Amino acid sequence: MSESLSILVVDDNPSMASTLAEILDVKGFEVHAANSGAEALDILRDHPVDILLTDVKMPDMNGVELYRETRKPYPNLITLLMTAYAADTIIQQGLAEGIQTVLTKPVNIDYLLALFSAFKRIVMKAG
Amino acid sequence: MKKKPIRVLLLEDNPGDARLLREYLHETDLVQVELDHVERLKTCLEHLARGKPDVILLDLGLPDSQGLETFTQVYAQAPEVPIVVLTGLNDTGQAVEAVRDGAQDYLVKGDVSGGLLVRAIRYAIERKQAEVELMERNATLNAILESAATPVFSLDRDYRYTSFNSAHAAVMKALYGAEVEIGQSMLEYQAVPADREEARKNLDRALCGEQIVESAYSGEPGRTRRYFEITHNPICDTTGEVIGVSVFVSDITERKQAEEKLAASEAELRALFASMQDVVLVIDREGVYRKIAPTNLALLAKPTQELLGKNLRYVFPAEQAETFLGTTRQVLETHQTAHIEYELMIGERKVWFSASISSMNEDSTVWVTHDITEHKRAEQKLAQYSEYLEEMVAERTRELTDAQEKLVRHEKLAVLGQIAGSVSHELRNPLGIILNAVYYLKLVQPDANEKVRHHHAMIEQETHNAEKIISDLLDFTRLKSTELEPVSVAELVQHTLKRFPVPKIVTVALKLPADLPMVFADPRQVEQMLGNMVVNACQAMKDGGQLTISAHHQKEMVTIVVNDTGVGIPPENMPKLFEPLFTTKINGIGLGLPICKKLAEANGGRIEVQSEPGKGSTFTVYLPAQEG
Repeated sequence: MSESLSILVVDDNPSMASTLAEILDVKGFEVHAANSGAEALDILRDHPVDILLTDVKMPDMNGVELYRETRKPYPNLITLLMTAYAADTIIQQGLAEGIQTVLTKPVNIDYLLALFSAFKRIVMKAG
Repeated sequence: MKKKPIRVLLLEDNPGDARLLREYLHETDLVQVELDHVERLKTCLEHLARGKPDVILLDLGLPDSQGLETFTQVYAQAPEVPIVVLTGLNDTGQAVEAVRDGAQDYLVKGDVSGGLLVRAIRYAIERKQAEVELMERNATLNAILESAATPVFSLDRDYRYTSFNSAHAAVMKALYGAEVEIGQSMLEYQAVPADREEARKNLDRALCGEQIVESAYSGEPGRTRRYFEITHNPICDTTGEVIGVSVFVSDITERKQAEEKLAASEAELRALFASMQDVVLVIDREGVYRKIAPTNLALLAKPTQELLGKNLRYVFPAEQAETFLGTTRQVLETHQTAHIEYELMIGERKVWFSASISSMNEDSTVWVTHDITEHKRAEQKLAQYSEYLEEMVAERTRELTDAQEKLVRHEKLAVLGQIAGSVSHELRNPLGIILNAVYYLKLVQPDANEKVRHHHAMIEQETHNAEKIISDLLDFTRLKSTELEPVSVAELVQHTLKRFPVPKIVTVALKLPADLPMVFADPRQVEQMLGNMVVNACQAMKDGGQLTISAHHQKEMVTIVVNDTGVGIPPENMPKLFEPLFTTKINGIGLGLPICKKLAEANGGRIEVQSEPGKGSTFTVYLPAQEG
């Protein structure tokens, strides 16, 4: 386990994924970016990831489905959803199944960074 | 003067008697006498056929005729000539009989002196003359009576006819089938007991000396029945004793029937009048009450006697009286019936009248007026009701229009919601990316110059604005469910001011009473609502001002009042304030206040707004106070 948190940003919009990834990179996180669920699962297989920050609505699988795919193989993975919709039954289900939280797009980056520092403390303690 | 000689015809078979009589007549100086002497009846009759003497002296016993027969023959030949019968002492009985049958006198031969004979002759002539005159007068009278069309008759004290004319006979025949005769009681002929009693009663009164005029129907039912006016006059003898009654009858059946018809039609008219509900008046050119028909007098403003001769002004106010007078004159000129309606106090009661005014003659009009109060009341009620109906219809129409507008708006909004939902996702991503990019630029260029930093800030700010618009759209189209809970107004206001900070140039004054009850509302929604108002207020006070938030308790509601001293709202915009998509702001889309309205209603309250351009606006939110 490295010093910094490892974050996987997933969004079918490459710019969204890349801009977020680059900010987090500047902020000192180990960042991976993916543009689909499948791509995300590939990255997870190859790299240790602490936090999964994923868009909900994506063509191949949605964010909640992606979370479900990761639960068994990566039980410690913390998942955060990003969505343009305020309330969605899929999101409600995801939250009920263990997803940490949901962020409304456009994501408030300062808030996101604050969340990550909190998670970092948790993850570090656990690690 | 020499008198005309008296021509005497002497019928005497005894020459001695004849000579003696001739001598008596020639002795006297009193009269001059021309005497013709005949001895036989036959000769006498022949003589009479040639010419009439002034008097006949007649011996009953002649060679060719004896006794009363002689008189009868002579009397028949010359009824107009007075006859004095000459008789012997032994047969005066026959002479008396002759006098009864028409002879003027008789003389007993042997008892006769010259003076007596002359006197007897003169008296006989005078009496006969009087008798003839009387007969002639009677004949004249009878002729007159006969020629009269009206029945006339006379009766004696025992109701027996002493005379009657043919008109009376005809009437009695017609009425009772009677053939009347002189000497018979009139009452016997009257077959109808009632008629008889009536006649007897009247006759008895007349027989007591009274002159009476009575009218009655007479006649047998089934025959002619006529109405007579009967005049009874008592007939008196020279001593003044009533000896009979003369009766003059005039048949006035036609007149009576006409009277009866008139009376009947008058009675009918009276009944008609009495049954009339209308008031019927005659009013002349000067507006004076001339006649008042005896109809529904209860509807007169004043009693008939008081009104007659008075002017319309006596009843109506001056102005109204003038108008009515004008109408009256117009009716008199044009002969066209006019109709007016007016109100009048009848006793304690206000009565509405409808009057038809028609011309009656040159100077007068007839007013037929009737009470239309009930009608008027019904009319008013109807008017009220139809007004009410119209209001109802107008209200319903308004409601329908509103509902329709709402529906249209809803449809519009539903479409809008769909579009907003799909667009927002698409927009939020690029907005998010822009924000991320700016964030990155700021992050990696902390030392960038002022201008670059300003532009970063501008991009960031405007992207946030764009995002706010999207959020409003989503809020409006997809209102989250309302979760009511008791909340303190002070807390709500403080949270709102924290979430929606007020620029420094605006001062904030809070007037929140300590004893204000909690409201029962969804705190997040109320804060959003208040936040919108605070943002609006601040935008209205770009050059500074005061924001006052106060709260009051009104019955079961709590009001939160957000007041600003900003530019205010133009009156023409007031009705549109809460309509979606109405905005005066450059970077607004007009959903702020519609969301507030929706939220207030979702929380069981409402919003009111007051504004004065140049002075500021006041938004009042009503929320239900927590019970108890």
